[in-house]
Amino acid sequence: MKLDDPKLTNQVLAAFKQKLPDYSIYSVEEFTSLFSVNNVTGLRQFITVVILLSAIVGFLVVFLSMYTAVLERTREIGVLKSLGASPGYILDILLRETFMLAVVGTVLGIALSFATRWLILEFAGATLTSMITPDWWPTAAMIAIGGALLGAMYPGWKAIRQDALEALSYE
Amino acid sequence: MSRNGGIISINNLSKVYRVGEVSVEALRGVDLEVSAGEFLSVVGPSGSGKSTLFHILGGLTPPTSGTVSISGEDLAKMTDAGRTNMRKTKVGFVFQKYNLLPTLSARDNIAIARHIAGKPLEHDEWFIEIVDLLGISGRLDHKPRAMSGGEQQRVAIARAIVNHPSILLADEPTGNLDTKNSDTVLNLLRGLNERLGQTILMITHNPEAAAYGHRIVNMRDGQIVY
Repeated sequence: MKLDDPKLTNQVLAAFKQKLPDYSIYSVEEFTSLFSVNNVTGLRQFITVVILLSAIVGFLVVFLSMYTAVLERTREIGVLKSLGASPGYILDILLRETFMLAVVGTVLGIALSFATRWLILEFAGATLTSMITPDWWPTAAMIAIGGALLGAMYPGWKAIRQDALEALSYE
Repeated sequence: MSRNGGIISINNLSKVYRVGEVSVEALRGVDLEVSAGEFLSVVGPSGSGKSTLFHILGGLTPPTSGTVSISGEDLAKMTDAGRTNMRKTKVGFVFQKYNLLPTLSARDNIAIARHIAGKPLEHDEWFIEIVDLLGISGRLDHKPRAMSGGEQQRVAIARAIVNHPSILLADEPTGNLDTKNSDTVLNLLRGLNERLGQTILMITHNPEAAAYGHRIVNMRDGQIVY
């Protein structure tokens, strides 16, 4: 039922409940409030699984990106070795560079989430509220930085252990 | 031939590579003496062992047997870490493919060799002298992709000698260059040898390039043939 004046909602609701006691009667506000995470069976578990999957996929994407990026630089690592760079020197450069990239990437990612929300609200005409939760930023940063460091360390370590000649001939 | 005494002494050097289950004898009892300040050209067909000889001299791979002494230090007795340390100051490499770091400017490509050797990054007189000598002082802020092959090779030479190495090893330094740039690079190498007394060993396929050296050594089937 549509009311001409929303201020009358409670009054009309009470009247209907009195006349039709066997029916469940809700205002739209009350009805939508039923769609909370806790009122839908299994929704919380579903959301937890989605978040976990997103975190794992995010980790793997960062890990594999860094893995490929460092693998492609095997020849450069060979050049550093030919100049007399020790394994510690090369790993130090690699990990510092990766850390900086991951931090900048995290900041850009957060900024991008604001931009994406603005685009959705502005152009998609979405009715669902999209919220940005800063509580997740440290976790996202840990996933990005951890994934990047691990992704860089493995091929970096492999290249360092490799013979300098093999690293130099990497194409 | 001896100018300032022997700087490289190689005795009965052999190197055997394992390729799968097959052993490949790349060097078979090589003997060679190189004097300080000498410019030596090593020529030979592909597979003759000249690159292997250079890699052993540069400490990039250990010998299988024999002795290799550079400035009195035997490479055969060195550990990996020892050879890495030796590459910092005693040996400079110039490769056919330049092997500059693409993300660094020419200046930083030279400076990183100093940084690795634990030397200050400030431009000292030596740095200025070599970039002037090599004619790259106006190109120091360019990335390798913005430089010609000849310029990249000159930066690679500057990087190789910035730490005053005892020997400069040049592996086909003109292999990727046209005739004009090849002549420039070869003249620069000879200039480094004559003006600074830099000991140079150069691998080349090109007899004209080899003629820039004081002495030519021929290699075939892992041995030196005269």
